Parts: sequence; C-alpha cells; structure tokens
Amino acid sequence: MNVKDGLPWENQPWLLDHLEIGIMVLNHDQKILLWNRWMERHSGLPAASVLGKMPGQFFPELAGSRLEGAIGCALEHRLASLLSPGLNAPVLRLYHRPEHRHTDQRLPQLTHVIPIPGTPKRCLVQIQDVTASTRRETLLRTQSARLRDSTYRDALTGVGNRRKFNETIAAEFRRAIRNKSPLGLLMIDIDHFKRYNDTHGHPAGDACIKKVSNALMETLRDSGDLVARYGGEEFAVILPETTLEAARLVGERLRAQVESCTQQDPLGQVTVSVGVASLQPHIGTDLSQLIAAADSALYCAKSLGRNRVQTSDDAS
Amino acid sequence: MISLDELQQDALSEIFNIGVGRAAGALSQILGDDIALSSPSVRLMPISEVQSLLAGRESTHYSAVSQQFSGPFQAEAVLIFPESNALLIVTHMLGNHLAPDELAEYEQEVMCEVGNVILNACVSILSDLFHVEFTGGLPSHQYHASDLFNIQIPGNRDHILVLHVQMSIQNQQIEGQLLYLLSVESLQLLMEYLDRYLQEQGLQ
Repeated sequence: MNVKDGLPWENQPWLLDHLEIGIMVLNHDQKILLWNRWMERHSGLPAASVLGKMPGQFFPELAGSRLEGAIGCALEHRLASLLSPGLNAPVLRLYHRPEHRHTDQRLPQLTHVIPIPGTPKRCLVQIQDVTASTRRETLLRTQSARLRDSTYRDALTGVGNRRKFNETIAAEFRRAIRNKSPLGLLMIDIDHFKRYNDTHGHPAGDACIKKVSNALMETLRDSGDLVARYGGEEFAVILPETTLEAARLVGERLRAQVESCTQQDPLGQVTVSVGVASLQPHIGTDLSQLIAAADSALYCAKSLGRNRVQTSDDAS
Repeated sequence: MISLDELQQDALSEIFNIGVGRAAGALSQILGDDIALSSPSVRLMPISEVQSLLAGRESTHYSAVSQQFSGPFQAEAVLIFPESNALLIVTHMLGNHLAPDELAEYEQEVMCEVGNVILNACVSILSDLFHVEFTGGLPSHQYHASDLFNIQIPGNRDHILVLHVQMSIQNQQIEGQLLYLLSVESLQLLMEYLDRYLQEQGLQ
C-alpha cells in the first residue's frame, strides 16, 4: 500500500461505504478523519457532524475505557490491539436497529485498533457487529442446558430419572462424608400396582404414577431433597442431613399424602409402602449399604401388609 | 552464541518489569479485579534449550499467542501458557458461570486479547526507553505441542529472549513464558540499544 502523502483510503470511498463493518479513522490528535456509512447507520450520526471532532464527544463511555487506551497505544506506539466482546462491554453507542437506541441496547462489538503506517500517526478503528454470533451462542447455550436438563428428567412424571438419582446420591454421599452428616434415603413403591395396571389399563397406570409423583413433590418442600423415579412404580427420595427418625417422619407424611389425595379417586384409592434408611458415612463406607438398607426396609413394609413405613432398624 | 552480561541481564529484567506492570494495569481493568504480574526473569537461550525447557514441564500442550513487531529490528513475540493455565485465565476473565466445554470455546478469543495486552506493554516499554518506534501487528492464537519450535521458527531466528512471567489472579498462580524470537542481527541491534540506554543512565 502506498501511503506517502495521500490517505490510503482516498481512492476507495465507494468501497468504504459498502463495507459491512464500522470504519473510523483517527488523526494523531484523536480527531475523526473518516466515518463510513456503516458508522452513520449504526450510530445515527452523519459523517458531517462528527468529522474533525473527538469520538469521546459522542461516546462518553470511551473516557477511561480500554478502547481509549488501545487508541492511545496505536497513536503513540503504533501497536495494534484487539478488543473482544467477551471481555469488553460495548463502549460505543452503536445499535443493531434504530429502536434499540431507546433502551440503549448496544450491539456487541469486536473491535480492532490498527495503526496506519506513515506520518502523521493515525489509526484505524474497525468495529464488527457480532450480534448474529452472540445470538447463536446464546441459543446454543440454552439448547444445551435444556438437553442436559432433559437427560436428567423422567419423561412421564417430570421428576429426576434414575441417572439423576445415581449422580445425586453419589454426590450427597461424598458430601455427607466430608460434613460428617447423616444422609437419609426413602424407597417408595406403589402398592398392588400390577393389579391396578391390569384392571384399568396402561394409560390409567401412567396417570396413577403421575398422581403419586405429584403428591410426593407437593409434600416435599425442601429444595435440598430430591425425588427420582427409581424404577417402573418405584420412587426414591434423597434427604441430605436427615437422621433415621426425621426421615421416617418425612416418609410417613408422604405415605399419608398419597393415601388422602387418592381417597376420592373413581378408580380406587392408591397407597404406597415406604422403606426408610439413614447413614452417617465415613471414608470407606459403601454407598450400596444405604441403598440396600432402604430396599430391605421397603421389602419389610410390603410383607407387613403395605401402606406403611418401615425403617431399616425395624427390618434388621 | 551471543550472551548477556550481568548488567545487561539486570537492565532487561528491570525494563520488562515496567512493561509487565503496565500490562497488569490493563488486565486488571478488563477483569475489574487485581491482577499481579511478578517481575520477569530474563534469559537468552538457544532454541534447543527453550525446547527442553518446555518439554521438561508437566504440560504437553500449550496455548500460544504471537505478534509480529517491526521497527529498528524485527521480532516475533510469543506468549506461551500451559493449556491448563490458559483455561484458568479464561475462567477468571469470563467468570464461573460457564461450563468447561464452553470455556474452551472462548479460549482463543480471550487468550488473544490477554496476550495482546501483555505483548504490547512489553514492546511499548522498549520503544519508550530506547526512543525508537515499532509497529505491531494483530495477535494470533495457536495450540502447540511442546515441540513447537521445530515447526515454528524460520531460518535464522536462533536466539530467543525468554521472560518467565508469573501471573496471580485471586490468589491463584499462573505461569507463562514470553519469548522474543530474534535473528542474530536483531539481537545485536537490541544489545546496541540496550548499551546506549545504559550509557544514558550513566550505568556503563
């Protein structure tokens, strides 16, 4: 590029005005020498009103910003800088659409500040609107969050699935070891579900499972507790920092809630059996001990006549 | 092989220390929190030694930002962080709300900018003190295995000025190397400017 005396862009006014990026050229005294049409469009300021003035007059946030430093660095030291949208708030009042001006919703900006060879010193400030890629990023992030969420959720009931249970109980178990706190676990099974299913059909069976899971969710208010669908008609409830006795009380509340909310049900009342276990684990304690204890308590509740709560103490 | 005498080595360390201080200020501005950069130790090494320096470390992968500088002498400046340290920087810069795979996504962008700030600061201090002018290009980011210099360095850039920098963000230590790749002629010129500066200061 030949830049002896003339300005390097003098022969390309058409080109500059048809670029889909913002071009601002600053003189050695930081006054605006060039302002292309993209800048006019996105700032709302015609070139005639800004030429010969300093950008700080229109963009007050420039004062003390890193962009101001980068411009100084280019004019003083001839060093180029890059300002990414991830690390820099949009300093320039530029808008993707005119109506965004009212809410001051500035377009996300990727800015390059490049020294222009020759004397006097000048620099090129190039601004890219990265709205599209920012939006794509946001969309992808929302989708991946939704996907992540759906891999942990039971499709029928909306409570956690087996995978969620496995990961949560392992994490809570480690936390209980660290905090030397007890970890409670309930295993809940719908009584005579096979008979219910055979009598009323699968859709009614699904509805029954949903009813029970709703009853469990409503009764458990503590955000730290987790309900998960453990198997076909079996649920598990993880109760961090809960002793056996406290867990038994929770189990009793859940059992009573299922019993009472299905009392008027035209298809007949639904009840659940609950097995309760709690453990204060140490390093070396196996997680399967807790699950096995809750399981055998549930088995005990079943064999003692169903619609009841049994603790692992009763079972052994 | 050219070597640095003690005075030259101290002087360069001192000079780059000021440069690194400027960079810390700019980085703290981005982060909105204090970033400390330790005073760098400066050494002149042949390429083979730099290679074994990098190869001898735990990391096998590096995140590197490079920039070309031209002026009274030419140099390519490369800022190298072990991959894991680079991710730490990205985490601090962007906050903790991103998942690890998303962080990796931003690595290029963030490292380019962080590198740009540090490299510019370390070159602008040279132009200020030596009263010369460099022109700096835009940064580019690459991933490298530790044998990067087999591929990277063209012909006669056989001297490397190595600055060991330590960055501390919120009590976490992050180590990196800043390399100036210099040809023999460029290195000689750098030494001439350095000696002239020392004379001006009445130190030589």
